[in-house]
Amino acid sequence: MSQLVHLTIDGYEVTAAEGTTVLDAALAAGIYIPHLCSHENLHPYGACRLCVVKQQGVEGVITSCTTPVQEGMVIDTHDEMAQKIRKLSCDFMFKTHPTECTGCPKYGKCQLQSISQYIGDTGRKLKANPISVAADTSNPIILHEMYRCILCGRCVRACQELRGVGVLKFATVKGRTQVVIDGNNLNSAGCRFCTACVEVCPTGSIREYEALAQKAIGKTREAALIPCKDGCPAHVDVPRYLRFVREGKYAAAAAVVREKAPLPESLGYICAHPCEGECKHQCLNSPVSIRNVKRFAAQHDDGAWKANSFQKPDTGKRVAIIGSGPAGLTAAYYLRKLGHSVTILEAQAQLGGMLRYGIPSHRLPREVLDREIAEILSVGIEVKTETRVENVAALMAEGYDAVLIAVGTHQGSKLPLANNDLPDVYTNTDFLRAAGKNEPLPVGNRVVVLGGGNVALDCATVARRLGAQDVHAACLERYDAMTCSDEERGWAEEEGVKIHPAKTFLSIEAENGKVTGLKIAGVKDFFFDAEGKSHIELEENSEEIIPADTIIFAVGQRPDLNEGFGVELGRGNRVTTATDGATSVAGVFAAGDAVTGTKTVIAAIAAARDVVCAMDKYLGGEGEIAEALAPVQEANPCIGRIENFGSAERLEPSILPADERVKGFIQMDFGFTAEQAVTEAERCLQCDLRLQLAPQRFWNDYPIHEAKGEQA
Amino acid sequence: MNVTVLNLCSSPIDAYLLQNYADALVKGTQALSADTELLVCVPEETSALDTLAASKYVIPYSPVLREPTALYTAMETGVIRVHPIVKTFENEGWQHRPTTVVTGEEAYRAATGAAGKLICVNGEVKEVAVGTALSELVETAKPVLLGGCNGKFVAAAELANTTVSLEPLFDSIQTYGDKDCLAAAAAEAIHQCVGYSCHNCVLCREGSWHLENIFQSITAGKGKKDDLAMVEDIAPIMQEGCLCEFGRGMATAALTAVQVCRAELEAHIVKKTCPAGVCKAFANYAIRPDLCTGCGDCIDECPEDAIEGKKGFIHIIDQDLCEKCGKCAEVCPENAIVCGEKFRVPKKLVRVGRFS
Repeated sequence: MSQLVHLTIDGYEVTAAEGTTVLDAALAAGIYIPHLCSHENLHPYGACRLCVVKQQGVEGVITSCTTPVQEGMVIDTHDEMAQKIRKLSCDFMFKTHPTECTGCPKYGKCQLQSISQYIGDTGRKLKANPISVAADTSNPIILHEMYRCILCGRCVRACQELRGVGVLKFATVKGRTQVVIDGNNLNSAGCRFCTACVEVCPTGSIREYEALAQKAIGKTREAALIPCKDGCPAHVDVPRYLRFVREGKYAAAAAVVREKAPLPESLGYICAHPCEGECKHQCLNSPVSIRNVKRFAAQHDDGAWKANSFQKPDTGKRVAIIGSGPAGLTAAYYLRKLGHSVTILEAQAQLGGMLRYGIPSHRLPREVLDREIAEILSVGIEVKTETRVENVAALMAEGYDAVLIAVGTHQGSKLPLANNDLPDVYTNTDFLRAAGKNEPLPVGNRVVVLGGGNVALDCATVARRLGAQDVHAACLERYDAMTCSDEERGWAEEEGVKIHPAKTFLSIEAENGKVTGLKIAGVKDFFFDAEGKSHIELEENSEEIIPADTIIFAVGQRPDLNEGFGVELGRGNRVTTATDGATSVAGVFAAGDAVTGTKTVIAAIAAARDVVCAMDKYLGGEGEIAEALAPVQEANPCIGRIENFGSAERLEPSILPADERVKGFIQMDFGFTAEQAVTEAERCLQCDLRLQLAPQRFWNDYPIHEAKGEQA
Repeated sequence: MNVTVLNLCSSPIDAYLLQNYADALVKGTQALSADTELLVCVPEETSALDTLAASKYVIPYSPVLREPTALYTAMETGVIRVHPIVKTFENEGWQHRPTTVVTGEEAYRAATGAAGKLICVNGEVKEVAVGTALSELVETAKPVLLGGCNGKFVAAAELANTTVSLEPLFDSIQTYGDKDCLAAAAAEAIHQCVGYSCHNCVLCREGSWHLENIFQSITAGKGKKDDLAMVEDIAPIMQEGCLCEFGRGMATAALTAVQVCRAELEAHIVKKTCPAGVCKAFANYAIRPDLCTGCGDCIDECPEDAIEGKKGFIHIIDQDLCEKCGKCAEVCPENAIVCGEKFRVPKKLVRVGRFS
């Protein structure tokens, strides 16, 4: 145990552990001493001369950031010479630094600005000595505007001491010391883009690129710093599980995912991965293939997390959950763990909702889904399949204390086109549900799908697998604005699905009650007005007929509910809820697509977690479902230098060739090998390491300071 | 094992000893480094100390290297930089090995038993007994510079009261004569300091720049009334506030220059003259009408086209255009172009021999 040392700073009795510096002891006691080159996480440097103080009995001043505390020390931070030194140092720094603060993006968050306000201007008429170096905007993540640099060396030390990277160094350029890149550019020099330099820079010299900085506005520090985690609706801790994968701890990685989502492997197959949309690596080339790494990790789950999983004692409360899609399953899982007795009521013969009756089996193998559902049910959930709930009040009357409506959106819509009621005209939901049941609806040789989302492409690729040779998908959006993912569209096109973007649908052509084609026309422009009404401008003479035997509408879907269900329904037949998921009926909650309209599996899981908290509180619980399933991780901040690290290309999983996969509903995406998963996880920029660094503080963050007290 | 570092990179005396007394350095170092790992820092590649069988580091001469932290940092990274945390050698994982630094002079004294201080007086090294008054060493009417660029200027009257000690301040004495300009000497000293500064601490890095700027503007004829006051304002603060002795010494050199060379500095600022005739900014080149033959050689040479004239006419220097480079004076076959002398010159072109 380290010895405690007693000293006096500005008349305050201060106690600090032996080895602490005078500066740290003062700051910890809430006494502000101006300092700039000193940083909590970095070795002392003594360069800025702002932290000098007077020690009684010692000639001259001492540097408080490099002087360890001694028993009985008497420190005066307001000594006249110390103040003179501070002011001179500040004057000198402002002769090299641009004097106009208002145009600087760091305005209001700049430590130099704050310190100069604190110390005050002496008005000394020294000659300006600006650093003439142009802004370096060549890197898409880290912006260098070194004409603002005051050479405190924090970035150099952070890069070298903390990260072991060392791509920043001091160099003499035209007789002046500057911070430069140790190489031609950050990427080739071996930068890991951890942005520790950005975190520690007290001025606006090293900053995150403007667009990235804009995204961070209004967010918490954690959300702003870890965009992938923030982008995930369930806030799965992506950098943490990627790190576990890098360390070869695959099961631990899977447990990290499971802390926020109980269907990790299914998500590994089909998650819409909004995390990747936020991944900063896309600024360099393309985002980390997070989903595929997750899938690999989930496939290596060893169940060790179960030892850490909470199970609260039974509460005696009964909860009914209508629907067993991702929202229903997630809610059932956590409500049961909270001690409630849970019954799932599912209209279909099997559980899974859209995971089973929407997403085709070639994208999500059913054995994976079955295994993960069984895992969820193993906590003790009662299941009633082929049980359609017609009225909530009647259900409540069966003695349930609370009900969750998680029915999803299983009713497809048709556009008001002529002949849309012919037997060869299907909706997306009917078509995919039948395929999911293994009782596919018959398709002709030529199929046209109306719509350009992922569901439309699922319909098209299912039709291909059912034997249709000539499959088309037509949609209103331009090719580059289609709502489907590029990946799924690429796969569909490989399988021969022809995309007709920027088209409007005029009529379904038919002869003798049989569909013969779809008449479409080109769209120059379209937009939705304030009321949500669409306005379409047609291209002249662009009408054409796509010959077809089968038409599938994939233009949206809604909850399969009606007025008789007994809760207030809003636009698009969606269940109206308060922000916590409560419906118009007491004790009845709703979550997932039934509330939001068709979204993603991960969004449904996240919504279910939220509604579980609200329901638990309603049932008298605390609404606490957070759990640490994965072992504690100690992220090593020393990541080392890797030349051209940012150029590493995103790995793609091995995919069955198109001509093979259209032969049937066989698994097409084989995911990553261990080597691929680790290599891909190594591309992670480890944005989360920045959280280990102390946030920048200012004089008004310390209770004891003499605001403006040092002004001449 | 503890470490001993023989530092031959931070004093002009070291270079002298390395050249003339390598054997004594070897002997003295061996005596002072017993039971330690010995490392040797030399300013340039040499085989003179090879019998020491120590690891050798070649680090360019710099007075900053008197600061052990700068020496260790230079040994490890090749860059001279004062780093207050590097208190001993070898900071692998910030683990340090207790280290002692030995200077060349200490090794020499250990080997020879010499008790005096080696002093470089105007470039010539002498051994002087400690306690000797400087007035016994040099005879001068002008201030002297003690201890090089980061030392201090001492007024001639004070030399009798200044006695030699073993401090590095007495490594060198530079005297100045009538033909030496003290403003130029101060400017040169600070200029050297700018080059030596490790640029770590703000006061030394930026302060040296501002001080150089002030002294150079004085010698360039652009000095202002407030310049000396500015030095007297910032130098005392730098003396207290700089991170290491080097920066404080530089401030002392600048401050003492102002204090003891004030008359000469003020002549530059106020009278706009250089009493020693050294600072070119104050020199007026003129062509003696009695000697000029109107040959035109100077016109061809002048880079500023500041000389008017034609064949057979007395040439005239346009003082507004003249940059005082002195090239005209060098090429004049008649030595007719002179500096700093007063005589009448024609205002317009006059034939050779017609001006009176």
